[in-house]
Amino acid sequence: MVPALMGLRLLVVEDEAMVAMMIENMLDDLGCVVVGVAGTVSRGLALVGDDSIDLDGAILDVNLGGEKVYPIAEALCSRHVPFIFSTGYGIDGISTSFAHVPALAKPYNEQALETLLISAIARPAAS
Amino acid sequence: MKVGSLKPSLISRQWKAGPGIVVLIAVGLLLAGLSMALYNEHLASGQKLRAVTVQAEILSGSVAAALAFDDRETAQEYVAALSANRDVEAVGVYDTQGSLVAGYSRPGSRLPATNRVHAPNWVGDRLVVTAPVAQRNAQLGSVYLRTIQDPFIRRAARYGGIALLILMASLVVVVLGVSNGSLAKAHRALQAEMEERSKTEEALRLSREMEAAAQLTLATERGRAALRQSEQQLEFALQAGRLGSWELDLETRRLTASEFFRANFGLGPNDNLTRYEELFARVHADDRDDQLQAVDRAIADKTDLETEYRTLSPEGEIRWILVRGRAVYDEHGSPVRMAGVSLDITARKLAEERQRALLDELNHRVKNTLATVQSIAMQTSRTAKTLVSFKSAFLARIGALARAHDLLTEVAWEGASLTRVIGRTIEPYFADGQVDRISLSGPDIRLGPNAAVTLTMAFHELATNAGKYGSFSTLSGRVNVKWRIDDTNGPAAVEIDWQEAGGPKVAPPSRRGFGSSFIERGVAREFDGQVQLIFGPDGVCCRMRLPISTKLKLAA
Repeated sequence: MVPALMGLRLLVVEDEAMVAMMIENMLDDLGCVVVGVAGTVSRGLALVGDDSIDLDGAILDVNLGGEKVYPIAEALCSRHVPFIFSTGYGIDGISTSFAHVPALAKPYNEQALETLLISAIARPAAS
Repeated sequence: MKVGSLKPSLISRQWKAGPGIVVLIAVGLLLAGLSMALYNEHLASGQKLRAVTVQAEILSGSVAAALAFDDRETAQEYVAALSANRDVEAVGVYDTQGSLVAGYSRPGSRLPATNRVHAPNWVGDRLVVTAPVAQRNAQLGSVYLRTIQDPFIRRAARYGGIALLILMASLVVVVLGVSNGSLAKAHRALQAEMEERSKTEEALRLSREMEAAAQLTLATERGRAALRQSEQQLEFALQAGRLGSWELDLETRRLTASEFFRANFGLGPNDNLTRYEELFARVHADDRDDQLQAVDRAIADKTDLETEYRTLSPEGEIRWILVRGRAVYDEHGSPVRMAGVSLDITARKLAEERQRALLDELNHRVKNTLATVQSIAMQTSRTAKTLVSFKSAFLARIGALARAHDLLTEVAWEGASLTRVIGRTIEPYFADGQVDRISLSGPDIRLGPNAAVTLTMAFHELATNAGKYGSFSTLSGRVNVKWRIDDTNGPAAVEIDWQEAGGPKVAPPSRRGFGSSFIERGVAREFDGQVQLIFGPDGVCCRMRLPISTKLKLAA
């Protein structure tokens, strides 16, 4: 449990079930609340577009079975929801439009996730 | 060679008539000697005549008184005085009757008995002179004087000396002439030899010149032939290598382009490509700056130009070309022209792009696989009660992951077969003779890499559970997996039905483990579908409804 991250409501977009479950577990361990896991762009967009779901942040896999996650990123931007990327392509694989977005290179451990979440998503009030 | 050729010819002309002149001079000398001898003889006889006449007149004067007085003794004294002269052979004094008054004659010769005055005359080599003796117009008598001409021997000796001198002179002339002749001959021979040599040398020089010219011609011909050959080889090499060639006049910007070079720009033989501007217009707009910089740099640094850029054909077709070139500079170091080759490297560029994409993809997959392994390790460790159970479960799951990769590798990571994914997962649980306990049926569904890994892991969890607690744990248990495409209820989806039978009675687990949650939640979320896991009394039943997508679709 990390106080700064406690209760953060996060969306996970990851197309590999096994990896998604690990991220879910890591976030559980950090005290975050996973409000949704999406394996496809359409599912992700549906979740982001659902106003009934409170979102503090998101962790986005860049490549979803051949589809790019950017439409979800744009939707998050318009909702002013901070997010980070989680990618197996390396930092270079990210579109220049989102070059400023922090990114985690797979595979990563809980510490790396925690550090990035604190710097990128955690609410200043909570820290 | 030429320097000496003038002098000998002059000399030769001087000496050419030598022998003739020598003979002529010799003959002339002989004739002159002869005429001199004759003239001398003539002079000598004249002189003799005058001398004897004077003697005769002196005698005549001397003996006049003696005759007048008939003084024979006095006359005899005058006569005797003359006998001292050795030339005088006979001398006589005669009276008016012609009778001898006084006389003398050398032994062996005689005086004529009478004398009569007459003109001097020669009798053989003896001169006879008579003269009258008179006093005051009175004839007193006459005198007779006979003298001997110079003896032949003396004259011969005198003339012989002259003749010898002439002969010697002639000999000298002849010898000189002969030696001159031989000299002239030698000279002529030398002259001829020199002329011959000069001719030979001239011929040699000419032949050398001709040989040199021939050599030059041959060399030029060989050079031309070599040039032609190398040009042909170059042409062949250019064609074989599909290389374009070009040359640019840096001053006039005029461009000479080969057929292949034009083709590199998507231009035919009739399209205009004679100006650098026309080439530049065909360079892809994004690559123009780089191209210009590369050319300028190569010229400035005097290095080889090597640049790659895209060209745009009139039809809008993009080609990648490689251009190599080198500038040529004049003696002041100013660049005058640039020439080089070009090569269409579109295929290479595509291959490079493909390779780069493949490498990126490989990197991505390795990273994802590592993340998957990491997840498996974490999930397994969360549920394993002991290290031993962790180890066996972890290794089994890694094995399943490896099988998924094997299947994907078989199809080059493009669409693993659902049948194979399920079959490979459950076959290890059944011996060879028990394949009838397995029933797999459904259309040929193709799975993308992630889908193949996820479904392999899902069926691995189902099979593991069946092996531990379900139908795989008994000898009579069976499994029946059926799948079909369903498009009656919303978007098309694959419905997979896993049904175990003949195993021990199944009870729902008190706590959902990793396997259950992975199948129910993980798979459902990944495919954005629904998954039901039912622990029915007849055996475990798993129903999946997975929408058709790029990662899960019917085989083409």
